[in-house]
Amino acid sequence: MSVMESEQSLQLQIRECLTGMGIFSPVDWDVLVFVYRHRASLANAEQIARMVGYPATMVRDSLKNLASLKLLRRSRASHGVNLYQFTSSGLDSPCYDYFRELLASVDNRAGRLEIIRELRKEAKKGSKWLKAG
Amino acid sequence: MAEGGLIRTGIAGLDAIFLGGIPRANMILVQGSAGAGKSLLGMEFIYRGITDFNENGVIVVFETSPDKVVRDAAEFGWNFGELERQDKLRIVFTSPQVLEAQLRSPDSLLLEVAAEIGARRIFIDGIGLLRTAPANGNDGPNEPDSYRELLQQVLEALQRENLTTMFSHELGGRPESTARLEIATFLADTVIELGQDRHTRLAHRSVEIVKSRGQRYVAGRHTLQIVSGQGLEVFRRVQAPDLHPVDEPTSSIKSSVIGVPALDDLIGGGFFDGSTTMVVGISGVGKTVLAAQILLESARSGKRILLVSLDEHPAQIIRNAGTLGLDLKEQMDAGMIHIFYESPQELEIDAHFARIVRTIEKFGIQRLVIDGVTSYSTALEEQRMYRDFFHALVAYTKLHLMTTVFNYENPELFGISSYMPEFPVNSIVDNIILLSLVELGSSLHRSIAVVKARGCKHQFDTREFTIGPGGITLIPVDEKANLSALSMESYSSILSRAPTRVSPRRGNGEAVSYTPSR
Repeated sequence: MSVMESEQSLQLQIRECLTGMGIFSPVDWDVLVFVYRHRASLANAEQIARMVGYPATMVRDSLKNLASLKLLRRSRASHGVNLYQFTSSGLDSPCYDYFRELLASVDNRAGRLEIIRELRKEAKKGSKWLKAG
Repeated sequence: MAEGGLIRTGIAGLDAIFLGGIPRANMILVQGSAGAGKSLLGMEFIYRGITDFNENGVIVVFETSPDKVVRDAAEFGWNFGELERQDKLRIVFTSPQVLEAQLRSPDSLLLEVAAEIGARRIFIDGIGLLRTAPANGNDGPNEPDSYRELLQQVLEALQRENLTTMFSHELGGRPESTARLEIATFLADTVIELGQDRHTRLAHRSVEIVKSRGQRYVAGRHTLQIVSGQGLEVFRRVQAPDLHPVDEPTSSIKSSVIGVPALDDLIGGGFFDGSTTMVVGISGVGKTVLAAQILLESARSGKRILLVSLDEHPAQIIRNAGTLGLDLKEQMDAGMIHIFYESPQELEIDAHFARIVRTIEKFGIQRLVIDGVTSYSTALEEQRMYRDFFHALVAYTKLHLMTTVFNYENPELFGISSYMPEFPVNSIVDNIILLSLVELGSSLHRSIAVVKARGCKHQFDTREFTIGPGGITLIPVDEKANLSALSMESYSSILSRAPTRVSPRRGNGEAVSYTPSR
């Protein structure tokens, strides 16, 4: 397989995984990875935002979106915080497989760049639709 | 206290210095500098609780990513991910402010998580990060008092939930950090201090119970090791007094230890079981050969024996003994002889002692040979440690009626001006055997003398011996006439480094002395 073919294959694989999970923005991806790596986070959107480096409003929206996608579980609020836990919808779900594949891809620089490129592309599409709407 | 009222940490060796465990309601503080092992101790406390005692647990972290906690745990074979999936463990990442608010709140999410999995233990890593809300934008002079109140509230909340709590606190250099630690130390029921002692370029970890309300414990600094693939291991301070004293047994049975009748005669018929013997001599005089003979004799008489060496690897000991026809290997294979070798580099004496005791107990060892004591003095920087080890070993072997032989390398080539190690042990050693090199004419001869044998009518003669097939052999007095050199009986002052020939008495009965030139 040539270098170009290999890159295309990676691109396709990443796109398939992201689409399969319903992730279309870099914020969603970074917040999801944060929640996954932190197992159970007892925090609010502002605290998570400080850690992942996005504005709090974007992180708040992202947390809502990920919860609606059932990729994370959000507890009731208590003293302004929630308990966020990665759910993966069961170990056998295709969603979890996609996530595992993506995590394996971000282990190397090429994979990381490809995920960012793909998500930015999707984010641009989204903003165009928003403008058109 | 009844054992039922104690919570066992499950950490190897730690419960033993707590004399079984920690009173269940106690709040446990683990303090120490960065890298001392606080987080690891907390993690293992939770892990052992789940796996060994069926007590689920929660770990709360502020600064470390829980992902790294899972990764680090895996290094020791602890599968935290699996325990989380089984709802036996939760690792919660939060901030100190959130924790404080949560623990004071009746609808606490954290306590809800703990209740959901039926947690009985909780570990909070870095309690010192708790901060009161600054009154004027910064911590005021009353801050430590507020911290006391805050910590008290947090601990109260955890106690209310019937959670056995362990929390770590870093030893800091800043005054406010020290003040906070003092408060935490005061409020906690049990305080465990982890240390990292520097000895020139080496670092040794230690653990000390600073306080533990409602129980007795073994005081002092014990050795702490991080054991790959296992976790933490605490080794009791060697000289720590036994808190359960027992009567020391005594035996009146005398046994041959070397297996050479002539040597037994010299000693006075053998050693008492449970006696301690020091064999003193210069390098090369035959101490290790004598040790090999003692090993074989022990095996032959059906008593399992252990040789401890810091100098020679087992393969080398077996080879060297083999050249004299002393087959150690066969008896090792039969389980009668055991050799324990540990490198003197970076020797941690508490751990070394514990390993010797473990070997003795595992294999039912009845006799012990330490070859040799001198290597400990070079391996250990502090003479106090060296002495503690020696005394502890003698105390242990006496308590178990083990016949023990210590080889001590005396640095003096000819004669011996002092036959004790750098510290006096005469009082605890029952028998002393001196092996010496003696220069007679132009040749070197080996001599043996028994200078002390408690309770035995030993001979006070200095006898010549040779090393050959079978090991050490005493030269019979009647064979000396056949030797080319004059027999030892022809000299006086051999041990005092000045052998003086005593000539046959002249006809007038007057003796003539002759000192050979060196």
